[in-house]
Formats: sequence, C-alpha cells, structure tokens
Amino acid sequence: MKAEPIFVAPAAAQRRATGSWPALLFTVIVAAAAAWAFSPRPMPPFAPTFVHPDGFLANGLAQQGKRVIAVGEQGEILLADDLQGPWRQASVEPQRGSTLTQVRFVGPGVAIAVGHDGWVLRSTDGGETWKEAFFIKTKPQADDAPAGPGGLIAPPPGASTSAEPPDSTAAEPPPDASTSAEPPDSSSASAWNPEPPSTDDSGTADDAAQPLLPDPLLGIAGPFDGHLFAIGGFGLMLRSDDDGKTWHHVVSDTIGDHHLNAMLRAADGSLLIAGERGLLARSTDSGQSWTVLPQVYDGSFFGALALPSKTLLVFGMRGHVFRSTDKGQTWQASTVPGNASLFGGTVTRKGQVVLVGAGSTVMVSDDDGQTFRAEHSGAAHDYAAVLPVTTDRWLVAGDAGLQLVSAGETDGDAP
Amino acid sequence: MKTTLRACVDGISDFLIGWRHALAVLFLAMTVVFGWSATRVQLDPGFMKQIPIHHPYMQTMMDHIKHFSGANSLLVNLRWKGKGDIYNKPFFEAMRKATDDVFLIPGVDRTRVSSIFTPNTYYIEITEDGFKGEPVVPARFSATPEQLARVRHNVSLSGQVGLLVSNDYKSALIRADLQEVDTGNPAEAEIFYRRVIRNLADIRGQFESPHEYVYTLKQDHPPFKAGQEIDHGYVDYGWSLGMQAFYERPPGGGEPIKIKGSELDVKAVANPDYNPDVEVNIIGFAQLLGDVINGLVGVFAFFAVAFVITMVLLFLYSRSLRLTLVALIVALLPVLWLLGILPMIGFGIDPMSILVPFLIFSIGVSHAVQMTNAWRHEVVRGATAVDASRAAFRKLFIPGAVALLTNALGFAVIMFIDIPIVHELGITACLGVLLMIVTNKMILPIILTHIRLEQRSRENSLKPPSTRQMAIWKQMARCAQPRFALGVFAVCLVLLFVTTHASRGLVIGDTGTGAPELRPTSRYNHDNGEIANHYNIGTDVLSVIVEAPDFAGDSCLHYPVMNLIDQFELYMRGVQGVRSVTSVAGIGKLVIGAFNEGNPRWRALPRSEVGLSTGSKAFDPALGLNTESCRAIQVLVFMKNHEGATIAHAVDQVKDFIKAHPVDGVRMRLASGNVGVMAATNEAVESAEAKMLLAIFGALALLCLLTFRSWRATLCVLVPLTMVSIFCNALMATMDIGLKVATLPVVALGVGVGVDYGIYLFERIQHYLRDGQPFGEAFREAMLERGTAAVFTAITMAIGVGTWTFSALKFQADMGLLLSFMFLVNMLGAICLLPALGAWLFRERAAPQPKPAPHRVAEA
Repeated sequence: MKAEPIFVAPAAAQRRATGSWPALLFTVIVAAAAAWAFSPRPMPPFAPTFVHPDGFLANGLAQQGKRVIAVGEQGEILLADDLQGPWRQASVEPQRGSTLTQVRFVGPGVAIAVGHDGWVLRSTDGGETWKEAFFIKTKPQADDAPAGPGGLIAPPPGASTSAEPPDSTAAEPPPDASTSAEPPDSSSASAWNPEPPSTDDSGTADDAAQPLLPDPLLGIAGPFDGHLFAIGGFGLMLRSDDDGKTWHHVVSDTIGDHHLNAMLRAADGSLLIAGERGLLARSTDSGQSWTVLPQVYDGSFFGALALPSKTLLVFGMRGHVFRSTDKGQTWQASTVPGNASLFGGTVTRKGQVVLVGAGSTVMVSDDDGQTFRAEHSGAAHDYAAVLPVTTDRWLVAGDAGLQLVSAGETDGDAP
Repeated sequence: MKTTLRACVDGISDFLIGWRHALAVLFLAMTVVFGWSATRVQLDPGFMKQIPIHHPYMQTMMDHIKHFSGANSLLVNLRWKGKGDIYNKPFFEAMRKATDDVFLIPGVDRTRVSSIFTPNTYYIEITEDGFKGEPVVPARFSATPEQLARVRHNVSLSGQVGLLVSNDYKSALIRADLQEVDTGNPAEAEIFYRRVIRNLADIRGQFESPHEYVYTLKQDHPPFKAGQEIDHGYVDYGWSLGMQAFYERPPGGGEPIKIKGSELDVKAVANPDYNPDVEVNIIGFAQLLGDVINGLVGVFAFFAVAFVITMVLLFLYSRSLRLTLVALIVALLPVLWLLGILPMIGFGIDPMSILVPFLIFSIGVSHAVQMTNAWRHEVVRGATAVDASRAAFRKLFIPGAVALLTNALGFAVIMFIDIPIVHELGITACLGVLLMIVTNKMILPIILTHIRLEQRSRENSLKPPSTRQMAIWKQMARCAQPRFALGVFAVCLVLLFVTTHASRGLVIGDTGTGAPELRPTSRYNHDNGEIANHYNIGTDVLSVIVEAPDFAGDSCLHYPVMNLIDQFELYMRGVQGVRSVTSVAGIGKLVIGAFNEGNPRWRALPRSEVGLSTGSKAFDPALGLNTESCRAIQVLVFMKNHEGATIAHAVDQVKDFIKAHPVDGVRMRLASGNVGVMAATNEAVESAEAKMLLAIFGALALLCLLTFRSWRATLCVLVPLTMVSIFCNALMATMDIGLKVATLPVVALGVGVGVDYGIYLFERIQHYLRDGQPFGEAFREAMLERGTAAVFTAITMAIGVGTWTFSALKFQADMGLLLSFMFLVNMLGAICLLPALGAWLFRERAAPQPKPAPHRVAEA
C-alpha cells in the first residue's frame, strides 16, 4: 500500500499547484471569510452616556424667552430651547459636584444658580457655560482617607485630591469637616477654618472676619434695586451688588440660624423672607435689618410668590398656604386640597397660581390664591419646581427629574 | 507504518472474532452492571454550576456572596385581577399567607424575606414635629376598612411603590433569597431543589387551584402506615404522579424518607383558599429550574418520536428487521453504559445537559448504519456472517474510530468554556462517544456474527441500483468534473459572501426578554413580564460592588466614598439600557432629605462625617445594600433587558467610569446579580469561541493529515466544514439566536460530527485513487459504496435532533434546529463541495492512464 507522498519534487509541486489554482484560491477565500466571520463582532450603536432629564434630581427651573434651565444633583445643569426639550448638559467650571437647588434669570442672558456648600454659579450666555462666583470650601480632615495596611490614618499628601471630581481643574484640598446639617458639636466646630479669599478669577470670596460653614443655599432673589440675594440653611444670606459677580455674607441676628427658603419684594419695596418653622421676616432697608413677623403657622415655609395683584403668597409643609393682601402685615390661610408639602410654585402670565410638592402634587388657583384645586397627584414623587406649558400641562422638576405632567394624569412623561 | 496499522487492525479483528463468545459474556456482564447502576442516576441541578466560576466578575460575586444575595433570588408576586386595587381583605389575607409560606421554603434566608407584611418594610411620615417610622402593616392587622385605609396611606409614604407594591397598585411582591448548600452530592441537590420547587408550586396552587390534593399511602412504608397522609398540596400531577418523589420526615424527626408517587393515593378536596381574582407570578432560578424539568418530560416524548422515525427509516434502508433492531440496540448501549457510569464517578445529569444521551444515540445510529451496511454487503456477496463481520470491522475500524475521535474532540473543545456545567457536559459527552468505540466497533461485529440476514433484504441488496438512483449519483458525480466544479465554486462564493456578511450580525448573549431557556409564551416568561412591567425594578440586576475596607469608622460616613457612589448612580442612570439604580448614596440622600422636613432641596450629601451620619438609617446592613460599617457596598443597576449587547454596553460604561474616577482606598468591582452572571458568561463564551474553533479545526487538520497523509485531502475535508460553520453563524444571526452556552457548542459539535461524512467518503476515494483511477471515477465509486449510507445517516440524525425543535425549552429547540442544520449541510458539503475541490486539487490524476479493470462492487 503506498501512501501519497506529502513532499513532492519542487517542479512537480509547482506544476500541480498551478494546475489546481481555482481550488486553492477558493480555499484562501473561505479561510479569509472565516477569519472575518469569527473575528470580534462590532457592537450595535448605543447612545452616548449623558445625564438624562428624567434621571436626575432636579430642584430648580428658570425660563427666559425660549431658553429653559434646570439645575440639580451633582452640580448638573441641563438646558433646552423649548419646555418640551430636548435637553443638553451645560458646562460648569469648576464642577464641584455639590447639589444645586435653585436657578434664576437676573438679567438678559444672565443667570444665577445656587446650591449646597454655598455654591453660586453665574452664566452670562443664557446658561450655556457657568463660572463659579462663590463657594465655601471645607477644610480637609485627616481621617478622610483610608488607613494604610498598618492602620495608620495619615494619608500621603496628594492622596485625598481624589475626592474631587476628576474634571475639576481647581487644585484644592478635598473638602471635609463638618457642615451644619446637624448643629456641630464643640469638637467639630473647632475643626472648621475659613479659606483665605481666593485670588483666582472664579471670584470666590468671603468675609474673612466671619468664617463660613459650607451650608446650602436654597433660594435666589432679585435684582432689587441692583442687589441680588442668595439665602439658605442656618440663616446663610449672601448679597451681590455687582450683578452676581461677587457675593458678600450678610449677618442678621434677628433671623439667627433658621433655614431661609424664599425671599420676595412686596409692592412697597419691602423684602420678605419665608423659612423654617413658620419664619416670616420683613426688611424695609434692602435687607440690612429684619423684623420677624408674628407666627401664623409653626411648620416650615418652603416658598413664596408675589402675585401680579400684589398679593403675597407663602406655602410650605403639609399643604399650608397663606396669603397676604397688605404687604405681609396679616395672613389668611388658603383653601388647599390634601396635605402634601409644597416645595415650588409659579404664576402664569394670566395670573393663575401653580404650586407643586410631595406626592406628585400639582395644584392650581384661579382666584388669586384663595382656593386651590388638585390637578395632579397620586404618584410618589416630590416636585420642587414648575413652569407652565399650557393651562393644563406643566414642566415639573423633582426627584424623578424633569417631567411633563398634564391635569388628571397620575404620572408624568419624560420630556 | 500504514501497514503496521493495518496489521494491527487485522490482529484486533481476529482476536475479536476468535474470542467473541468470551467477550460477549464480558460485555453482557458489563451491560448488566451499568444497567443496574443506571437506575441510580440522579438529576443534579445547581445554580453555582452554571456560572463561569473563574471569571473575575464571579470572583467578586463569590467574595461577597455571604453579604449580598448574588443572583439566586425568588420573587413571588400576587396580582389582584378583581375590581379595584389591592386594598381589600381577600388580597391581604392571601398576601399574608403567601409571605408566611415563603418563610417556610427550605433554604430561604429568613432575614432577607421582604414584603409589605415583613417588619423590615416601614414608612416614614414627616410632620411639623419631626418624623415617625413604623412598619407598613401595623401589628394586629385584621384588614378592617380603617386598617386598609391606614395601610394604603403607609404604603404611599414607604417609598415601596414600584418595589414591593406595583405602580398600578394591582399587585404586591414578596422577595426572598435562596441559599444553596453545595454538598457535592447530586442526590441532595435534587432533593433540595425538588422541595423548593414543590413549595413554590404549592404557593401558586393555594390561590390558583380550585382543588387541594391529599396524598395517602396505599401500603405500609415503614415507619409510615397504609392510609397515613404523607403530604397535601395544590399541584395536580395527573398521570405523572408516579414519576414524582415525596420526602417526608418520619415521626420523631430524622432525615426525610423518599416515597415514590406510585405508592400514594390521591384525593382531591375543595381548596378553601382558592380565589379566581388572585394570580400568582413566581420567578427565580428555582422556579425556572422547575419549569425546565417539566419541559424535559417533553424531551422524552420527542425522543420516542425520533426513535420510531429512525426505526422506520432504518428498516426501509436495510429491509431487514433484524439489522434494524440490532442497530437500534447497539446505538442505545452507549447511552445505557454512560448513564451507568455517571453515578459511579459521582456525576448526575443536569437538566441543562440532558440532551447528551440523545445526541449519543443519534451518533450511535449513524455509526451502526455504516457497520451493518458494510456487513450486509459482505453477506450479500456470499461471505458467512462471521467472515462478513471480520471484513466489516477491518474496513471500518480506522475511519470509524477516527470519526468517533473527532466527535469526542468536538465535545472536548467545548470545555474551553470555563463553566462547570459545560465541563460536565463535555466530559459526559466525550465519555459517551468513547464508549461507542467499544459498543459500535466491537460489540456490533460480535452480535452480527450471530445474525442471519433475511432473504428479502438479501434480494433487495442484490437488485442493481434503480435508474433514478443512478441518475442522481451521476448528477452528483459531475461535481467532480473540473468545469462543473467551477460552477460549484461560484455558487459557494455567492453563498459565502451573503452568509459571511449576515454572520457579522451574530450577538453574544441573549436576544429576547425573559428567561432565555424557555419560550416567550411560557408561564415563566408571562410571570416575568408581569413583574417587569408593573414594578420599577425589573428582574435584570447588575450589581457593582464598592469595597472601602480601610476607612476609619464607617466608610459610608466618608464623603469621598459616598460621593463616588452618588456620581456613579447618576452616571449609570444616563446609560442606555438602564432602568433605574439603587444604592446607599441615593437612599442616604432620601433619608437626609426626610430629616430636613422632606424638602428635596436638602437631598444632597454633606461633606462631613457628622452631616453624613444624618443619613445613617440608609446604611443599615439589613437593607442589603452594604455590609457592617460599609466595608463593602453594592450598587444595584436595574436593566431594561438582558440582551447581550445591552449588557456588554452597560459593563463597558461601568469600566469607563471606574477608570475615570479613581478614589484612594476605594475599589469598584464588577459584578454580581443575574446580569453580572450573564455578563461573565457572555464574556466567557466570547473568549472561548475563537479558541474553541481553532482547537477543533487544528485537531481535525492534524487527524486528517495523519489519516490521509495528504494536505490536499485535508483541504477537501476541512474547507466545506469551515464554510458550513460560517453558514451556521449566519443562520443564528438571522434567526435571532444568540451565541451562548447552549448554542456555542453547536458549531464544535456540528463540525466534529459533520467531519464523519468527509472522512468516510475520502477514505474510499483515496482507496480508488491509489488504484490509479482519476478523481471523478474514484468519487463515483466512493459515492456508490458509502454515499447512500452518508446521506441516510445525515437525514436520520437531523431528524433525531430536529424533533427537539418542538421542545418547550427554548435552548433545546435552538440547539436542535442548529444541529440538524449542521448535520444536513455538512453532508451536502461532503458530497458537493468536497468533490469539486478534489477535482481541481487532484486534477493531474485525470490525465488518461491505462485504466486497470476496476473491481466493480454491487451496491445498494
């Protein structure tokens, strides 16, 4: 039995190989096809990852012309040219990652956003790009970094910069130390230390005489005769006299360390603050000094509105709404359905009042805030801010992100 | 060397025939032993076997399995189909009973069961004076209208809408984790899962079945007495009661005793808890396993169908009842032996690898056909049964053994997939195929020596091939003409172009929604849809584990740790395919917000330890999101589906995030949860694919080179196989079948089995080439001798596995479809493309030579 030789004489091999070229060519093509068919396959296209309007905690809304701005958690700012979207991410520099609580247009194309850690951002291009105007830094603390294998607490000097968001260009020590979300005890109170005024052009500044705790800012008001105000937790109040470029700490012993949630100006030019535990305070000298008004409710007020009729409206916890027709001297309770806390509100051009709050509540008053009717409720979301789209459709911001809700629905749609 | 091999084969054949009586006794004894042992074979289900245990993701999962549930969870959903929502007395009573029953399921981690009735579900109400938190369902609950109104209020404040209560308030959920104890003993695994499955079926039946069934003993079964009630339940087993097993503890305690269903009488009584308005949806690995096991009953039915079809075809082919029966019995032998060996080596049969015995049977039939065919030819030519056996053995031992070796190789290379269950499948199948070398190549010839061929079959074999048959073979033989071969090439190239393009669309992992093992219309996937559509969480969870072991005190009180998790949560919510994300950061912010009068503007992470400690209620290990002191934290990413591409994208995005956000002392690790398991499995499959194919083709090339000693012959055999592999991928891509554990072995198996045709055929072609015949002639002769058998085998095997296509189990249906495609098309490749390639590669042989008188063989 003879086997076919594996090796043949070169000449013969040549002849035979040339003679069988179609089969060899075919073999090569099949091999190439197989190599391609079994090589790593491409992934189907996916949308790039970005902050979805329905996927972040949104606390504040502002509108000027067609431009809409929404601010929320992790210092994210979304903007759109229509209430229905589409939304895109604005550029924030530096991105501190603190949660933003409110946004407000204070001039044509000029917007201010405020948030936790006394953070104030300013945009002069209608919200496309934001620069830092104020920020209360926290002193780094030794045990903020992990202990090494030996159990030592002391970190290498550069180690804790990792606490900063990676896209932050500000070279600063990482924040820690106490905030006053809880009243600090004596040991941690001694830990805080004011940052010296920063010299970079982001304009961070503070009152060197009065060290500031990194408390949250919760509201923006103004411009009132050229002044802007930012107010927040534990009596924190900032004032800007240059259109929001620089900010100064304002201290009022009258107000103390109540949380301040909203500020507005009455028709006579006096300023009114609404805050924690029924706080209502009035200033007739552009915020230099404050008088506490008699308490009408012992729960907190989360917002205030000045209606076109010059009526003032404050609203807050467990569905409590009060109105004043005498510039804040006396207050009357409005009729409100349900007892959901109310966190935000707006007035439409026609004078309709819209308030939103816990339990996906949207309620509307057509009689200058005397009586409200529930237009939307039932779902378990907290709404913090609202803008009217039509008379029965609203853009709301809350813990479910930005939603368009219509009267009668139980839950909203993603814009 | 070739001649030594030949001499060796001759020697074995002489030994085999000479000692056939003694050997027959030996083999009979072995069969009896294995047959006895086979009665002890167990189902050996297990969750842990299905995961690629060495994959880094799974290492992460195993590192934290004590604290985080992993993926073996159970969801029991009660849906109210009546008027209104769930807040009514019948529903709450059913819910309470179901919750209690879930607690009683063996292996359930009782600390982690949660429903609106469990004390770990509480609500927070904010008032002017602070807030209060209490269990959602108050103590001494008796479903009065006032209490129901209270619970409705509590649920709305509990944040459980979308989690434990559906978004439409029409259903409520019970969640539980199953802890599997791996004892290494298949019998215990089977008992464990059978009890869980029965418990789940009873929970369902308690509300959905109008009858309750009471089981009593027909006869004494010590220590139990006749007439004693053994069990009662809500599942109607019907005719399958005899196949069930009951486990009852004897009075006074001790190990449960197994009682067969056939020993029991069943009596149906009215079920007091039956409520047509309540639907029960159950999902989780244990339930899936139960449904898969139920689906296996169908497999046996398909096997019976395939058996009958095979028998009829075999008879039509051989026209001999004796040969038909012999071939079938010999094909069953390796299955019996295999089942007998499994308990001896401590293996059981996993429901997912139940197909192996059937596949072994199909392959066994194919080889038995070749052997009986050769034997018949010898007998018809006038040889005695004994001589015919010897001759058939000598002719077929080499190609048969090589073919079986390639089969075994096909099974062996699938072990490149690093998943225990696949290893088990590979070992089991390899063993079965190797056993076939003994049963088909040794026992069959011995049996054949005792067979007398029926006269009818003999006459049928002597008939010259019909003109129709000749015409077909002539047509086929034209493939071996160089000019016609070019046409074949052209057709193949067009097909190749189309299929290669299509095959690029193949996805790794699953393609649909729901459990991929079952059909979309199955009860399980209906239940899965009910839960996925009415809750926010869905059933596909990717868990990312954050390890922060070295921080002073509680790691959750360190801003860098929490901020990283918070950033990650926000980031993942922006990833396409993610439905929602849950972590300590989000819940911590919720609690901090609650402490600040529920004001969403306070829902932020303070940068200090004191501030963060406000949210410490969220860092309670009982919530299952972190360990004590937050040494490890899991972020639950709920996915919209578990399609392969969606998972791969999400995992990629997680990797990007981890890379871009290094935090000192914090390590983020992928991955746990069922999607984590899928991601690891998909990656294991992906990395195994190329290795597996290279291994099988490399080994086949080597085997072919050794057998034929010609690279041309090797090309002739392998090129068609390569093409068919591409076709198979294209078929999968167009039929939306993903590449996964069940389907990846198909290509290897199809190649391993499909190469048989080429080897059997080329062995003959080479034989005639050596006699100096031109290739075309050689091919025609080889086709006449073995072509019919090859075509017949391919069709038989394709039908055998093709019946699986009707299985209730999706993975089995996919496998059946793909395997029968591979078997058929590989056969076509061997009889069309192989000669076309040969025609050109062996062209110079076509040069006219003095043609020696060919010895004509009369063939069927």
